[in-house]
Amino acid sequence: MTKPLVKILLLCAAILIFAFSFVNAAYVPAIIIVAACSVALFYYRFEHREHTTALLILITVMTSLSVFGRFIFAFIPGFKPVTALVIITGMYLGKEAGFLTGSLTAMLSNFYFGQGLWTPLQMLVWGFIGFFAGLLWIQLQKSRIILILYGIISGVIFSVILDFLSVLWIDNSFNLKQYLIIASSSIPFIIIYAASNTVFLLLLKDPFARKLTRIKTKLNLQVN
Amino acid sequence: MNNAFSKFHPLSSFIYFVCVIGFAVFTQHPIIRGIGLISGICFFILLNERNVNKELAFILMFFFIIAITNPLFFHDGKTVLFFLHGNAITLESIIAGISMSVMMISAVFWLWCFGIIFTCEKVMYLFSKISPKISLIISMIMRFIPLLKDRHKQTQGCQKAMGLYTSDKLTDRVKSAVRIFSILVTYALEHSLETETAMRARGFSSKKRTSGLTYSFKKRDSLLLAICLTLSLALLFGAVSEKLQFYYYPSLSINASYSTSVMYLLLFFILAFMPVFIEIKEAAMWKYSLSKI
Repeated sequence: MTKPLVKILLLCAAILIFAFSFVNAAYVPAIIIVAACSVALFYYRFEHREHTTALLILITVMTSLSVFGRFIFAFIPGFKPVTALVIITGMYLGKEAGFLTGSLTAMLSNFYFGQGLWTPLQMLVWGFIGFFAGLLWIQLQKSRIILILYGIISGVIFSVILDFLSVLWIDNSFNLKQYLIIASSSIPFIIIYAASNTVFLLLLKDPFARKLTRIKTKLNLQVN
Repeated sequence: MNNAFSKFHPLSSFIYFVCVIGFAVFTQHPIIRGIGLISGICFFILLNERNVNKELAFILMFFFIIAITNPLFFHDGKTVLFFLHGNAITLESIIAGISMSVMMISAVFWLWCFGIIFTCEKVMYLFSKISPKISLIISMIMRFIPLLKDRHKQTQGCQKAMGLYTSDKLTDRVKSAVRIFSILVTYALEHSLETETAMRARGFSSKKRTSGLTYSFKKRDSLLLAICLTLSLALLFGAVSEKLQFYYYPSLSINASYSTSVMYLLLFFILAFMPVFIEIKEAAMWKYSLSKI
């Protein structure tokens, strides 16, 4: 099949399922299927473009590091370098690498931390965090304040979206009261996420910039 | 791996799992959820691979909480059992909560079974044809993580021996962990350089990749696939025509007549218990052929 045809088919399927599920008020399957389809579209695009071996290897290394980062800092719950690493990958290796690192980290680390139906949504959100970091790479590399703001915002958004899904799941309807209860119970986690993103971005940005720039010249890799 | 179901072709068993988990999770009907739970537990016991006593206690507690809290949030429903601080606690919302938690536990059990049957190699086999690049990346990560684990242990031991690793205060622990992480990063990136050179030297991306494992698609695989798809299509038809709809509020009611819903429940029963039947049949055949000798 030709490239655009597959894309259009996937998109149509996603929209149809989405519309159909909304008519039948099955919001959770709709969200999960649409998230899975959009991740699949990204992967499809990646699959059909020319890439150097170097970029594949660097994506592998960054993803393994961020999956492993979830283990090293397991002694403080919620305090993980994952988002920071995804942002750094997006900044220095381009938006595609950022998306792949984010989504693959979500999928693979869930093999250890518990796979569930929320995995596609988690993959999409983490992927987009890396993707937008790749889009905004000039601003993020230049200014520390924007970088920290980006880290905090992505931590908050990640938590808010997943809370939203769990509220929808519990009774298939959006109940504001229940959402607020769940959200307030996750406020400490949001604070830890935001704080850990900030700390890790500040700690890891400069060493990673040095190391990745060096490896990029060594591998003769051009990104962005 | 000594079970019959894992000997099926990855494609048909993957589609089977997707169908069962999809119906068990996305339908509202409490009896379908119950069937999903019981079949999942039976299958899991038959597989007899993982010891999950610890996780089970935690999960039961968590889901018990969901079942309890649902009637505290939702006061719809006809049959009021009693009032708690002026809020009605209804039979319907209690049943909805229990059914909700049954669904979640069944999803957990089915995903455990999926994890036992679907080893990493099978996932690779299935997806290396559809997306060679991403499955290559995944397999390389799966190798890289244990490597990093070993390296992390070595580095930590080294730092401890040199007296650089402190664990008195939390900030010190974080600092030491970050330093070791930075060392690991340098190692990983250097390692990537070598891998890249090796891959290029061996002609990566010059030709199509081949898979080391081969599964042949046998008659029984197509049989499993056909039965699974037929049952799923029938059930999907039921779901689309809202025959499988179950209403908890205002009172427990179904959309279809008694006989139609029994038929659909039977269909799901056959679908969900298929691996259990297969396991029992294989075990019986084994016993039978033993006694003949």
